[in-house]
Amino acid sequence: MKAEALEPALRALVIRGSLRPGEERERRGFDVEAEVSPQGIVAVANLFFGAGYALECITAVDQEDFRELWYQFNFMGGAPHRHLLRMQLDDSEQVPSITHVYGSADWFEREAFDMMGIQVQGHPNLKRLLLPEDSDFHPLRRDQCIDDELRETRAARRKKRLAAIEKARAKAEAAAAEAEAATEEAPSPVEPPTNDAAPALSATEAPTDDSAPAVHPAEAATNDDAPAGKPAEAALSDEDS
Amino acid sequence: MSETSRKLAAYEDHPRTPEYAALRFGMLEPHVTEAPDDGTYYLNMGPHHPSTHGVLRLVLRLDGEKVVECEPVIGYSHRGHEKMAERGLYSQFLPNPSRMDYLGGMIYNVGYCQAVERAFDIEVPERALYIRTLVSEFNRVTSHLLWFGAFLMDLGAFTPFLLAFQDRENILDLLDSVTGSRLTYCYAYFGGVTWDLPDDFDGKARALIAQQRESFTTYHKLVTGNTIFRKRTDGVGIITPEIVHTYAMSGPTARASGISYDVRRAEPYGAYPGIDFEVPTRTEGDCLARYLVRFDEMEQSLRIVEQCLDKMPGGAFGPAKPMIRVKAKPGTYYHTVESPRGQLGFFIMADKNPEPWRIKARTPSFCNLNAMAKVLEGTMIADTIAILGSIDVVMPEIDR
Repeated sequence: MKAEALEPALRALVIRGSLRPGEERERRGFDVEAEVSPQGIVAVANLFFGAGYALECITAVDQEDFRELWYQFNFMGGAPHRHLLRMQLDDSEQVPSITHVYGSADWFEREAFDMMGIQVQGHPNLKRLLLPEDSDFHPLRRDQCIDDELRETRAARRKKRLAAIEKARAKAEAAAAEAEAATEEAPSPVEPPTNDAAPALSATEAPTDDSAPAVHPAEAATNDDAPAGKPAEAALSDEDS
Repeated sequence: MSETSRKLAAYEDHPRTPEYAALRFGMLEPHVTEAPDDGTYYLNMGPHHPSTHGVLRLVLRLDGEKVVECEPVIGYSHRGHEKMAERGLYSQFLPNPSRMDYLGGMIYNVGYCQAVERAFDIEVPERALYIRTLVSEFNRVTSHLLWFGAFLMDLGAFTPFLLAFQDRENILDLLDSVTGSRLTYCYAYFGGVTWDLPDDFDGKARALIAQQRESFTTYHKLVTGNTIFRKRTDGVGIITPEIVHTYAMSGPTARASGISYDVRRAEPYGAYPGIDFEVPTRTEGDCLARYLVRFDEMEQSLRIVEQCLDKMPGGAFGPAKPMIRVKAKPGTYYHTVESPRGQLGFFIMADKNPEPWRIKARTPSFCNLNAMAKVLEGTMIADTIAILGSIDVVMPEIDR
């Protein structure tokens, strides 16, 4: 299967964000970034395996309110074509293992479990990889293994960030209400305004919040502790240092 | 009280018993207490076995001398580099990458710098790019030379080890004169390199290259044609392209199995786009192919160094003032370089703050060793040493 055949199939599995073909490859180092659901990852892995891609890496990231997994698929047979697929997990949520598809997932999943406490369902040998077997903590979580000073700094930053997000949300709501009032006074053309920022290959599912501007999933994830998809611009004004 | 500690309490007065060791140090009970009924038995190799290159433990299930099952156990030199990255500035993580892989330290150092530079649009002068490439390639040669010595030592030959170390020492001395350190470099920094090349570098480097080429001829005469060496490596430990693909193996190990993937060629970085070199590839996939691919790679590295010396541009070698705080832009970034063992990647997740949110190092040996459980199945125990030596694992890089 070629990359052209891969994309339509992949688009059906992407739940949020969009497939962004290589506009920022020079700077960011990958071609496509999108979000998939935890349940969809086995289908995604099968798809990439069939297309001859390798599973390069799985990175677990702690976003304080939730955990993220970044799956990285790359084509190693010719010109590189790197996909970063993001997945959001709550504390109780489990992710199905893709060890039966990719052997390299074995240790990556074990590492994610060890370092971040991610529960992988159906892994043949899910136990500690780097830490001793009787460890009772997950060191790469943001609140683990840090001193009090850093803990306070991070708590202050977090508070500031959440306040900024709340403010932005209130502002967006006010703007939406205003716009609604305006449309009631003078009915606008039937066609809804198109979003110029939306890339050509948009996801099957539209963003839940129509008033939200198109936010890059990564940026939303890094700035925004609220569920992704909400506006994150406000968080950019966070000046801490 | 956990199950383990309850059991451990029962053996408290008997710390020398194997049962105590099994519980205390995480060895699975059946590995020592009882053998399976089918005549197989467990052998624990490492973590302090001379040929496991550091602290790797292999739990082997053997049928006679044949490996039925193998489980690599890692984590003995886990230092938490990724956690360290999160608690300081981007620049404060600079000394760490070279401590991950102490044999290819320069390449790790340069790789991390380039990842940050690429993400946050930091300009690097042309001269710095060439200097980085030059020292990286010298570093690759030292890494491969140490591998050559250690691999032959695994196979029972002692002389090549001493010869390789002498050659390696010469290059390390040269790198020492440039960088100020011998093993764990922190030479590259954001926007350039710390110091310029010394005045007499060009002449010394060229003399060293000529000397190296002579040494390679000696090595080939001494080792490559040797009957014992051939018998220990030819056709031993075949890694198929399918295994390479499934386990995302990279570097010389993958190239010896016919996968012509080299990051320097696939995603050129630094000064590589302007340099002519070949990607040595073989299709046999056995220990001998991995040995020969590494030798060809050393030749190519010397070629790259020569070209760097020829083309070395003048001008600045870095910004006038060291860049302590980088201006971070939120987002995810990935940059990959070719380390002596394969594809090394840095995944950076940044927010507005001057500290990284998360840095993940995708290290090549991690994937390469993961495949060992599969590769070692069905081989003889003496070959286990040869195969493990031939993929060139560096444990601190796996454990990070």
